[in-house]
Amino acid sequence: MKQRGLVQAHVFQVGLPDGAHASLSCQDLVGNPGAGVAAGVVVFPALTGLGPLMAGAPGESPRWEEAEETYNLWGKALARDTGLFVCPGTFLKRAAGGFEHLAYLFDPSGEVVLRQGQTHQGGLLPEGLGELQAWNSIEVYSAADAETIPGDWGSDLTFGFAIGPDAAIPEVGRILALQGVDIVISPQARPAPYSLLDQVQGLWQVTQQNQFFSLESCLVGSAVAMDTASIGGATGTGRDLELEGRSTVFGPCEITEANSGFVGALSGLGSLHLDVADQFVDLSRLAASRGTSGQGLVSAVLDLDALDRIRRQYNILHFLNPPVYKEFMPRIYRGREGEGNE
Amino acid sequence: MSKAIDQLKERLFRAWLSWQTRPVAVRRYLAKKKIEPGGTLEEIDLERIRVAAVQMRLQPFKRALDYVDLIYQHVARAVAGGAQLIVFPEYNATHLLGCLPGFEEMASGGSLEEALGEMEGNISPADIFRFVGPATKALYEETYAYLARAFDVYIHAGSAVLPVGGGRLYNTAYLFGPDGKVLGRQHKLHLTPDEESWGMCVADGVTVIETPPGNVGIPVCMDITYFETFRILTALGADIVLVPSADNDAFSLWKKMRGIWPRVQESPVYGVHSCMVGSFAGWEFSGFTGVFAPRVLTPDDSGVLARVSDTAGEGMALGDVNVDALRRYRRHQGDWRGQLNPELIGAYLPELYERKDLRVMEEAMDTDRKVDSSGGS
Repeated sequence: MKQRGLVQAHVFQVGLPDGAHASLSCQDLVGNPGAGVAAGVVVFPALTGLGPLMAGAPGESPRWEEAEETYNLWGKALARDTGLFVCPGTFLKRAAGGFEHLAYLFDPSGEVVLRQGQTHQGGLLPEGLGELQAWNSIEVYSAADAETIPGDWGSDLTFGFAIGPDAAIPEVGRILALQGVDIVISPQARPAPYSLLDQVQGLWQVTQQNQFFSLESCLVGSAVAMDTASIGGATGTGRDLELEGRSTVFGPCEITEANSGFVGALSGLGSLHLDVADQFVDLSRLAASRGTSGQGLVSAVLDLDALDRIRRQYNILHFLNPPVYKEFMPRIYRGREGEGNE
Repeated sequence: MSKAIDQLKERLFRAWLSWQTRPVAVRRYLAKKKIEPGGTLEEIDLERIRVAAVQMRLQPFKRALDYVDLIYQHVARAVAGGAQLIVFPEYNATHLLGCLPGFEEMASGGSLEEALGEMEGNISPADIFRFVGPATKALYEETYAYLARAFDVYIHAGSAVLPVGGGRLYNTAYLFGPDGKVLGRQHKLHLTPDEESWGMCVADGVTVIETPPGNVGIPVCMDITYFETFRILTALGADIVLVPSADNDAFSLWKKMRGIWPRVQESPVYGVHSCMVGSFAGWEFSGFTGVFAPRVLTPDDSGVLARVSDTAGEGMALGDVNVDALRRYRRHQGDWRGQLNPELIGAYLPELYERKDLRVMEEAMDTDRKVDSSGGS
């Protein structure tokens, strides 16, 4: 059986704009990747890609049209400097009728190898830019198919995105899984309060029912920095909001400590997710377990061989029942229009 | 000559098994209990439907009527607690394998499959289920039909592994109405590796049954690992999804949280989960029996209305579900169909589901399964 080795994941939890700005110097991440580590990936939270844009024009309105260019420059520099795959968070791009909420993945050479837009409405987004133009596609990046991979890093490794609310949509997780994704990158920005049970209901369970790793990176801090007027919007949706998160690396229960499904979580939040593993627990305790508005970094090692092993032992996707789904899909996915009086 | 004797033995044994499980014996036995209707269905208030999830130990019975008595005890207790709808676990009636001579000895030393492997004739667990199936079916159906009628209550009889025409094996759930009639059956939609290796078949359809206490879906165990099951059931109008399970794995809260709980959150619906527990023929079952709901419909935001606290012993979770509140919630804010991007899903899922190379290394599966069998059923 082919061995794929380990991937080192670095998931940031930062605020805007200072956190993202400060994290520009994350050279330490290069470090020593450790024995068996085949690749590394760095992830920043949703909207962090706007950080350089905001920080670059103190006291002035940022040049909105430069958002993508600024994001690209930052991502490219980060990827090249660290020699890692990098998702520098997300940014907003004007589009007909509104805007798109986008995340890119840069390979270690600094090339953009995957572009993804948010596919479902919702999440913490500005109102002043018009409507979110949801993407109707979900692609994945497979390093195995790439023509140029710097060194051996990242070979035979597949990434995909689940941006903001997409992460809790089971269909999104399934689309990614059926395209062979190993690691799902999920930039997030959510208002407080943030609870552990929200996570379990969201990306944790999507991870479990699809057998991949996922990286949830949360934007935190004061809502003042979320004043969308300063990033080109007419109003500041995030004003008066406090953002919380619990940046986490998830994996299938079978290959995580205490079967928890948590490969790593932001330190300083306690270890409730592990403590409860083999006890009878009132789930309201999990609901009451909050996130934090503090900044930090979660680093975790993802074992792709262990992932392959559990997929071979009990591959959930193997037992799907397409004939039955096919019969009902037209009915359940036609939207609410035409449903009649429900 | 030897073959003729074997055939005669088999015929005699089948006859004996059939005699032990004959419906008239069940009726006579239960008639002696002098069961009175519980009265729980005299008034049905959709704001308060009381459901009971039975957590039951899987144990071999040498006498079929001992199984009948066990089920009677559970139903009587649930009705005494006011239950209008009672749910039993998966692999129900497997207790009756104990009627097979030598079964206990065969299964006591390790796994049933290992024991069968040591026998002549290449017998599999599926062969055993096929052999006892007709007798099991007769007793199983009569027991639940009688009890539902006598207590005047809805009973989900869990699921049983039963042969259907031509010897095909299905893991099938049953719902009995208070008149004793079968209101609906549902074959399991998603098998486990063990079930697949036994040659079991999967369902080719999904059923939602309209009843006065609400519209009911009855998938089986692993079906709750797949969001597709609950998308379909809720699209068909299910208010309450009754799920029998027999999870062949040590208890871990996190592993259990991969099942019913997230399903009722992502496709808002009530879920009643009934689990088998105990040790049986080398299998170790653990429970997560309870009544689950969308978090917004639970007072403590937990998504749990009732749970059996013991994950290894017998017990019962009694909870009240508010079908009216659920329907209001879905109508005004919680309908997941309004939150989805149908263009995206339509562009991807149908084709992806059809793909045969789903990253599965099929040739490796059998080998690895023997090394480390994963839990769940």
